[in-house]
Amino acid sequence: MNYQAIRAAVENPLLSAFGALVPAVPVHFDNITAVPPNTTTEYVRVNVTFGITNEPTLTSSVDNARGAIVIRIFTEKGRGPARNQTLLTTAVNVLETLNNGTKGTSGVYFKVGEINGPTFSATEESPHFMGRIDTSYVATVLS
Amino acid sequence: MPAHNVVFGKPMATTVLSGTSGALYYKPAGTTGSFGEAGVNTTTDTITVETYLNFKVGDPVKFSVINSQTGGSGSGTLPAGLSAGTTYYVIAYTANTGALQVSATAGGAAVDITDDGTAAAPNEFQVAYADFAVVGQVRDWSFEISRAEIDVTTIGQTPGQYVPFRSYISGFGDGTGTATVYMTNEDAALSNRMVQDVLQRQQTGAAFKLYTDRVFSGGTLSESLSRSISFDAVLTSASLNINPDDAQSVTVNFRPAGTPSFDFSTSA
Repeated sequence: MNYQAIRAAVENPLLSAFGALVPAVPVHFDNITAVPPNTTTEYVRVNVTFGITNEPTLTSSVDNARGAIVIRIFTEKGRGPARNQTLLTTAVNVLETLNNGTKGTSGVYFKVGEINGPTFSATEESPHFMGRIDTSYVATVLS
Repeated sequence: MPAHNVVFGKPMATTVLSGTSGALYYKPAGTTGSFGEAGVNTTTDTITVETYLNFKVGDPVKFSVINSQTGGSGSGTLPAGLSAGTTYYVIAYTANTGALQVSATAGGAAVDITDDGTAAAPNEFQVAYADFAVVGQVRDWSFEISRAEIDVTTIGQTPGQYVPFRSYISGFGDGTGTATVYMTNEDAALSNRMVQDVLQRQQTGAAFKLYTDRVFSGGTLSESLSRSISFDAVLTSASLNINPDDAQSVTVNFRPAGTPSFDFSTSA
């Protein structure tokens, strides 16, 4: 099992996609400090969880990694949902593109499930408006 | 267990085939035709195959010489202008006459056929859909094979401590398959064509290739690294389910027309 490779399979394309926007939107992954909550700067948080790593068999076990991806988009509050939805579209496009990939002979073969959301929320305290999508994934480490 | 999965004398976990790299490939029904020397018209660059087949404009086809008695490869020479192994594209097919024209390029000019070729009986020329083509937007497929069993238990056995067991011998094999396909707005999509193929009277040429694990190497589908089941097929039904809540989909049921070919190894 190679958790880093699985994580990279989804994090790298998300980082590239949001980095290619003008202006680039920072993406914060697991265990990376997010932008302080008192700023109105827009940013993205991505959480990758490993729900199941393998399945036991009668004699050993087989790798069969499955988990969830949660993407939260934070944009300025009080400006309507348009900007948030624009950034969500970038995230959804990345996830859908992951499903267009074909299985090769090395690396990680990665497929996401149906995308739930987006759901939106904005608390009184936070200066941000948040859009959230999540999906499941199945990853096969090929090498 | 392969040697590369053993480290320090302990087995490492292998990676399960989760099915997520599966795929469904198809050759449409009514896309295999045959013709003899008399079916070649060098003036109009037309060949005449069976009527009411299902060739569509743009279909990729290949020509060969076959033995009509065995179904295997035959001896003879294709009409000049047509080469075995080369992919041509249908540019016209008239169902009620069987007249077929092909081009070297999709939508191009008709191939210039300059002689009738030679195919002495039982040999004949064959034109067939070139290769399996991927069916897009397949939600899932399933395939089941079964074997009939015949009860050959004899009665009148001498009773002992335990009850006598029934005896069986194996009977004929059979199979059924199902594919659920999301409908798209592409008229030429194979998924849409599968629905019509159910009612195609002559389903000759219909075949499925069900990939349990489709692997690409260098950007090209690698048959040697992939695992698949392929067979000539009969399409038996199509069930459309249109409702306000779900994406439009169709479930196509099929049955092998012969013994399936299993390629579950990752070597050629």
